[in-house]
Amino acid sequence: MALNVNQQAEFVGQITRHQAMLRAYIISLMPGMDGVDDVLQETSVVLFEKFATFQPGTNFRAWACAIARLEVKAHRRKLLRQRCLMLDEALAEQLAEHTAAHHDDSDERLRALNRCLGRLEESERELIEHRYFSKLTLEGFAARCGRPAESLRVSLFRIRAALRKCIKGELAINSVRS
Amino acid sequence: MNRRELEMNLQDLFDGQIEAEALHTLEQQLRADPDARDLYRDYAHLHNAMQLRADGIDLLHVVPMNRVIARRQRRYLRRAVISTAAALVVSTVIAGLMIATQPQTPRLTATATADTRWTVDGEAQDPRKGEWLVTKGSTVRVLSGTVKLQPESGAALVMQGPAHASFPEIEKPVLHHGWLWIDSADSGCSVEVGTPELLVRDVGTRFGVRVPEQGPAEVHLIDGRVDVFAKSTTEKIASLEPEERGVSITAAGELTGLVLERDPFPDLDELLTRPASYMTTVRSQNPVGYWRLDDTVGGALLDEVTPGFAGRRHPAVKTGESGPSPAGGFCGFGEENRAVHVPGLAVKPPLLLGSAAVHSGVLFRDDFDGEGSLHGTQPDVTLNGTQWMAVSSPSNFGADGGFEGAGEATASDRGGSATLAFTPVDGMVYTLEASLRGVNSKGAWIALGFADGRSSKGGKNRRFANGEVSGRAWMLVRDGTETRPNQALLGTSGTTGGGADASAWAGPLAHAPGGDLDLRVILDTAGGPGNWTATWWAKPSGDKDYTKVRDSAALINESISSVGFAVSAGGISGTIDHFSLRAAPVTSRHAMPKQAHRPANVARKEGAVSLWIRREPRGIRREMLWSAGENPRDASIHAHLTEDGRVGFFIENGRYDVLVNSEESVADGRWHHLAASWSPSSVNLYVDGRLVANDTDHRGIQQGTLPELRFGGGPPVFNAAPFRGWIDEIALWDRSLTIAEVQHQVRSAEGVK
Repeated sequence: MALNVNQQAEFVGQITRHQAMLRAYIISLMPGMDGVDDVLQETSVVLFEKFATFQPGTNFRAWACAIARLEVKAHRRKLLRQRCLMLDEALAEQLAEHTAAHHDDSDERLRALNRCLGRLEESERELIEHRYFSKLTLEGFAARCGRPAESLRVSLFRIRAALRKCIKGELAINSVRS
Repeated sequence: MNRRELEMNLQDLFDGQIEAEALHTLEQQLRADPDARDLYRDYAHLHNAMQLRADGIDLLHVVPMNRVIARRQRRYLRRAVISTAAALVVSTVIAGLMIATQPQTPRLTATATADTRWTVDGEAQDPRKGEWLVTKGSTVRVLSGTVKLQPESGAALVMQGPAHASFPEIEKPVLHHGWLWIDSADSGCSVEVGTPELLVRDVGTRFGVRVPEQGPAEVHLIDGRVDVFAKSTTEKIASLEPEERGVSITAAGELTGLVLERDPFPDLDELLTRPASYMTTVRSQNPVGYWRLDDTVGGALLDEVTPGFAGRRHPAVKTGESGPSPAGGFCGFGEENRAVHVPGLAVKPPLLLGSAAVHSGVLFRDDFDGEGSLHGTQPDVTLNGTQWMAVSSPSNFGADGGFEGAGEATASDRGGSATLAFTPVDGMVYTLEASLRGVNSKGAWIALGFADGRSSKGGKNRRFANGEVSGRAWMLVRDGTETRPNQALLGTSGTTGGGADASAWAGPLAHAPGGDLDLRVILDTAGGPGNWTATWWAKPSGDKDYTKVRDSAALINESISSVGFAVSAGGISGTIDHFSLRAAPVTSRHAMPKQAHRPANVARKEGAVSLWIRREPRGIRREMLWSAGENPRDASIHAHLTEDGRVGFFIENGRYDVLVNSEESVADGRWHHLAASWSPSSVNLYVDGRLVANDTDHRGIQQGTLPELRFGGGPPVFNAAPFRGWIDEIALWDRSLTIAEVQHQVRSAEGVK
């Protein structure tokens, strides 16, 4: 069923508001697995195609999560055939609900992340940014850095723990001040 | 799995690096541990944010409109696609104005009687607006008192402590323990109570369910009708009508009559609005210290929850000031309530509120009338039930007072000690005495004194000279056949009979003839920390009075945890006829009140401090309200006022310390209740029962304690001066407080209805 102009407008508004949450939800459903952005795109396509059946005023977030869940299931089936090690599906769904339920403003989170990255030592910041930019496996990344993988793992752990803590602190303080 | 392992495993999971075994362990923890699930959520958010940042993802670009359009092109005409794309551009602007509405989570509104202690796990909402909201999925534990929970349907659920219930559905509570009463008569809805074995479903009625520690659940039906089902089979096993009795019901449907319990509903409204005594409220929350600051006994600031324990104040701190009173709306305090006024001068320390015994009179006395080994026996008079810890194998000390060095005189590893646990406090004079009879030293020595450490093992490291049991202020005796003198000592040096400050006895007693001798060591702690002194005395048999064998000298090390005897080696023998330790408070020699104080030991890991303060609005500086530190120069945890009168709370937290501030000034000349609470998972600051600032990051397990607890001042960290204003009702906890507990303190003190 084709969407009319108003429906299209509402769809764009809804997806814009919720896609950061949706992405976090998908990451929670398939932690450590490849293809998060592919699943997000597939989810968005399905949402658009089915948006005519969506009842305005009902919970878009819940509806989008349900669609995402189905897309992740399909993706998991593909990965299962490749014998990938995956978090238990039911547990992942429970955790993803928890993640989505506590998803706060993504722009604010990104601003907090930037502030916290600024507080890291330069070498630490380079390492963590490089890790996400490179998209290599840890071993591949370690080889590129010329460091043992285990040493890199521990360094990343420390940096992530510091970032996670710092971001939470920033968000908490901001929520108190706002 | 400890916290670090959990985080490492989560990192490996999100990096796609986790091993099968670690994944299995992680899954188990994620299922069982809510904290682990929170951590998982945090990692998911961090990875999402980092990836978004790394990819430079514009949020609109991840919506694959090109693909959508392409798919639609295959299905529909190109014209339709173009119009769709055009419409999307326009509608993006419009959609920004739209606000999605979320359905409200089902919840219960909770109220509690004034003396209730209760907690809510899970999704309890922040009661900043003066009401407690318990959401679906929460667990409520009532330790004591009564809590009323009301869903939007209008039914009333009442938990009477101790009770424990969870709410997977708002109107389908699961009662794990204790009493839960239901009144749904006016609500038109049905409430179903689950127990471990039953489902009790009402049909517009009033009834109570009790799950006892042991035995089957009980149903007490006041009105209406309830149906009871077996949880395992879902079969109806009973249908109850009101009668003048309750019943216990097994899962098999066996009913046993019980005396009908009186339901709480007729008195509930009155019960819920009745104020409680503030003192009772604080005490009911089990603080480890609570000081009303009424200055009731000779300048002492008594700990109200640990009788006989006290803190001390600087003379510049004025007691007897008016505290919060009924005239100010504090119904729980009474007219007699008194506070202290801290002048804001650079006095050190304004208020020291540890929890230390006020020593007075005979603390220990032993006439050694027992048999067998001294180890494990109690003196005739004992402080806090302390028993002797003495060398037990081979036994050097007998319960009859006999002592004998085992082995040869040269076998120095045969020495050892007999000690009682004892920690001196400031502001006292301690007199330690022992009467030795028939001492025959044969080259060895016996000692009496104050020491640090205790042991039931023998050896040269446990005989005051050094090591595990180290003398602090002590004296040793040899017999007159020895060429080496008797000595009075401070500290240890690691050499037998020596000391960091060892002095031969003055006068003829330096080589006493052995036999019978009375010893006395006086420890004077009146000068306060860093100023303790000792004096040594002896009295041979036949002498009427003691002779001073060494003048007063300052202790080298004031770390004292025991008092008693030591023998150096084999060969020595004799009997202890009498032993005693007396304490006398010093009241007049020094300007500072001489009441006891000892470390409060505030735990870094978890705790809470609450107090009332009043600060006039003029002349506000950055002022320290209280501080806890490892030493007088440290303020690892503290609360202060900012220059504009807001409250700040700081806690050292490893790499990122936590500092939270209230938004509004409390320096308005009125009394305010402040509470700071910390745990591994949160740091919370409350003003007048409202959560005004917090940090919810997991702090990890912080180790150690902070012995220096001061109120009204502290080290000049944050450039903070001493507080200038009134302080009252200080309480200290070794656990964090729930917001309900904090609010309860305020509400009950104010008599809020």
